[in-house]
Amino acid sequence: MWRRAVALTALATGPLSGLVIWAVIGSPGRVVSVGDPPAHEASEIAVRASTWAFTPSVIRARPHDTLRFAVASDDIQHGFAINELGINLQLVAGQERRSPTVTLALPPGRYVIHCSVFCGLGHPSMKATLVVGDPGPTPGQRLPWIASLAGLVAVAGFAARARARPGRREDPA
Amino acid sequence: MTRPSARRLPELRLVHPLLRLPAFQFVAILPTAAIVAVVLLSSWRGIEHPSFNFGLMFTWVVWWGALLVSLLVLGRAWCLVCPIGAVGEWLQRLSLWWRSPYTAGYHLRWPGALRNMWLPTALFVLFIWLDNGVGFSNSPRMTAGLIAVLLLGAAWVGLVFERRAFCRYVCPLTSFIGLNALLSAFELRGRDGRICRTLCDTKDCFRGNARRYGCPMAEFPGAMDTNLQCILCAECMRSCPHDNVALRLRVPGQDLWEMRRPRLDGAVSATVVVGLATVLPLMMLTLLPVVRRALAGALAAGEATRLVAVGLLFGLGIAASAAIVYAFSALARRAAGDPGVPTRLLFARYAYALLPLGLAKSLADLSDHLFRTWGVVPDVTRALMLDFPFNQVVPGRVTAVHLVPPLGTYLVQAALLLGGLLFTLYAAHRISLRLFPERDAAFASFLPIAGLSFLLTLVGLWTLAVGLP
Repeated sequence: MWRRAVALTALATGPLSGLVIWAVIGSPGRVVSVGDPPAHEASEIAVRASTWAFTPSVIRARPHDTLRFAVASDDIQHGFAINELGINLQLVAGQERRSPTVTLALPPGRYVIHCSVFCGLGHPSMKATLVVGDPGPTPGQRLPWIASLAGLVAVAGFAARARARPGRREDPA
Repeated sequence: MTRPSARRLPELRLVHPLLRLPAFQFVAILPTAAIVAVVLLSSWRGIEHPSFNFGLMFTWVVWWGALLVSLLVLGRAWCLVCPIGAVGEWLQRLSLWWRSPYTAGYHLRWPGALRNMWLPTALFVLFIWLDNGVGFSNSPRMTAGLIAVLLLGAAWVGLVFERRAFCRYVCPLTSFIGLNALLSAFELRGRDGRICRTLCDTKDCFRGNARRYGCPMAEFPGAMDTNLQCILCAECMRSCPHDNVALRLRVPGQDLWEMRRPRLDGAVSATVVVGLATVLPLMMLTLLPVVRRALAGALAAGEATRLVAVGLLFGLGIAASAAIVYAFSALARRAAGDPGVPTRLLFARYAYALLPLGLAKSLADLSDHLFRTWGVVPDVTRALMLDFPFNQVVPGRVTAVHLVPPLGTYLVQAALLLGGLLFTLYAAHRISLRLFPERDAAFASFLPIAGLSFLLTLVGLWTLAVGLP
């Protein structure tokens, strides 16, 4: 009986799990790269914020690039923050805000751009990435896979334990 | 009545004298009433800047976070100290804590058709939809308006209907708080069910007496088997003539598998609460831009488009959440091979088991905001202190600082989700053993629910991984 239950569970859960992961990572969003600005000038990156995403979702730059961000919200109040650069802009709908000009004195890596104003259900996912230089594979790209595997192991381990030691019999419902 | 297993759990006798103080609840409410007054003033009169407005930040980050944590430990402890529900009660009783010979209002019975969780669940969804559609949680004025509407609503319901009808049947948070209170590590219950059944003629804990009121939530502690409606006010302890009510420790989440009569309205509400934390954010993340683009041609740009788009996804997401839980319950029935147990019963039981996962996801969402915008806490406190309590001064630039770096935050979130998964698996396993006398059938029925729990965990793990460095 339990083998059939395992098969039914795997048939139902497997494709849905694949769908979830594909839905999240399937659409990479818009990517922009910082170009070569005129001498002694900063590159300006235009960013739009809306519930619950930034466009572009990936900004590529080189170490020591000088740049500033011009950010506008298309709907409610949002924030635009890159903690490593000390930038935290408060965005009011329809108004563009410019960040101070910053030089990317950061080691090559991927840095989180996040909404700093609590803005609803999708707020924790309202993020974009600033890629400085060529960071190569980073731990953040592997972590969700490792965590998912840990979840699978937890379920399998719990089920195996429950099968081996079903526990005391409960009063019927 | 009292469960045999529950008798073995230790009572918290040290705090019983405190709970029996006549003014216990009133004294507990005073500090929160003062804080809510400051929150109301600063959000109503203060600056519109979300990172410098104390009322806004306190309500949606500090209070919300404290509420989530308190649910795990103390159940509906927030309802014990909530001044909004208290306002209706004070007006109705014409007293703050003593037994008054006078009352105000009509004391009507709450309509029978509404004695369930459908209305508060609908109001909860409406509240979250409006928050996501128009942005309550980042507008100080709307936050003040919301608190004012709740205060007036509680006062009106308190003057028309008996007891705390607002807290039990209307408050938009009552289903969320009540359901998650099932996970708590404490319970207030009758000590010995036989005393309640046979020795007690007066049922003062429910009806009240000349010196004390009965349960404000209209529960009979002698028969109460879950924390769903218990606000820990301890009125029953004070009114019981047999000293037969006690606060005690228990296995966290015990109500999930030991409740005798799981109701369908509660189960649907549980799927809504869990779906809002898991399925809805996934749909918002992946489908909202598509839906907004599709609607942009049909509707004028701006708030209407967003409100309609969010509303459509809410409807779809809630229906999908309930459908997924029902489908996996049907699968659990099929796997168990027992046609005597209907899918509806499995749904009504297993939906509650998913609550720990929903709460874990809510905590993970909040920890994300708290850890990466930690600087806002000193900013907002400084802003309030510069112009107390009106909060109209901007004290400089907003701080941008991590309390925990992004990878560390994700590890905390993953740990919370995996903890919630294990809690859910344990609850589902215990429920399966209650549903099926045959252990093989119980185990087979448990497996699809374990698969569903894994799927919802995966949703949390991947939606929170967006933008990881």
